[in-house]
Amino acid sequence: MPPNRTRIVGIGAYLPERVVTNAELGARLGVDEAWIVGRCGILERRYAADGEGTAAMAAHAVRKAAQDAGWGLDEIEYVLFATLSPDHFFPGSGVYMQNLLSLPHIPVMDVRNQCSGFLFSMEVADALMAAKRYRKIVVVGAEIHSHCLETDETNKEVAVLFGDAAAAVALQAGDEPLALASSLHVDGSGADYLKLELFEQKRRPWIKASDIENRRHIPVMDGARVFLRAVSEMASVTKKVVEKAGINLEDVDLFVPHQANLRINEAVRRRLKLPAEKFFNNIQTRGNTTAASIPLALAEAREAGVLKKGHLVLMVAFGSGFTWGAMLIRY
Amino acid sequence: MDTFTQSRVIEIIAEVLRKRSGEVSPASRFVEDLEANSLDVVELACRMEDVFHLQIPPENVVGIKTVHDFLMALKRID
Repeated sequence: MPPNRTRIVGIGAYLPERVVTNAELGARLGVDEAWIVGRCGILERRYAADGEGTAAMAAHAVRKAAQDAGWGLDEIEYVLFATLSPDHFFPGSGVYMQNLLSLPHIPVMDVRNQCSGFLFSMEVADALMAAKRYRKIVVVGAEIHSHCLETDETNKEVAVLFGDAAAAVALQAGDEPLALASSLHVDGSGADYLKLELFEQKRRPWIKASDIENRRHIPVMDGARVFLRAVSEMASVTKKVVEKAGINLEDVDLFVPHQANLRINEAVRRRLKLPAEKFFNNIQTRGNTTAASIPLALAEAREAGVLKKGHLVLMVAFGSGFTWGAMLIRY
Repeated sequence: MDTFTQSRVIEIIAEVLRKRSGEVSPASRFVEDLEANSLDVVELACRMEDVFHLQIPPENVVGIKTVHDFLMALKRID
């Protein structure tokens, strides 16, 4: 008799309607389509509509995950909300989402761990359930990047990468934890290599009119450093989690990596000597959606028939901070 | 760390950038001569890490312009 584990019992994804192709973006950035595909493997991405906020997108995803689980919204006991692009500086987007969905006055926690935010949230959710505090938790990742991507040639390396999306999973508590093994890490010495500087609390005033002119409202990235560290840490933490679980890499049915750049994921896959059919990528049509990327990939892997009930799934992420981690689960 | 040779490094660069070995020499400039971009150079560094079982500090990769620079970056770890 297999153990009664905490499981993902529902997945829901929300994509804004507007598709932004490389042809459209390339024209604004002064680059051709081949340049974009060559850098990151992305063909198109979605952008939120004017007036569409992060919390609203998250609310769609949470509703779909609950429906997929067969839950009423009033059955959700706790929500963890990972995002680096909250609607406002404060309060966090979680309260807006709670209000939009008219959820009961349950706890909703905002999590700020960038591209690794979903995995950091999943570990907290798993621990809350292992402590028998809650039985039905939703973890959601939602991001709107499109508003802070300067779409001219000065920031083309960053602007081509990102897309907007939200995705959520519904977790049902069992007697055993969700994670067969997990490992999460941060190294703040990498903070300056991928960041958005505003707002800067230590300054008086903390926002200046010159900030826009100095482009401090758009993200900056040292692509080479991020790329090299991402490949190194994603490969290494994957091996670590597999070892912790006492299995081999080939025992894993599906690897679901964060979707930052197809070239990073291909380099990780080559380093681990994994077959392409076991390494799920959907960045080609979604772009990098940071905290939403792993649950969105889970949703689309299931839709594509490559994620199946009972599969051993390893999720791995790396992102701004630096933050990184991996979690092995039985789907 | 496995020993690397100039000829093997050039062979890998040619393979990754889809060039004939004869098209790549230490004097080759990645952007101008080999039609590569900065991410290609980073990916090449990853490939060298895999092949020669070494770790290249990002500082060594930043600023690489030619195949000679790349060989020097590897030599600094040697």
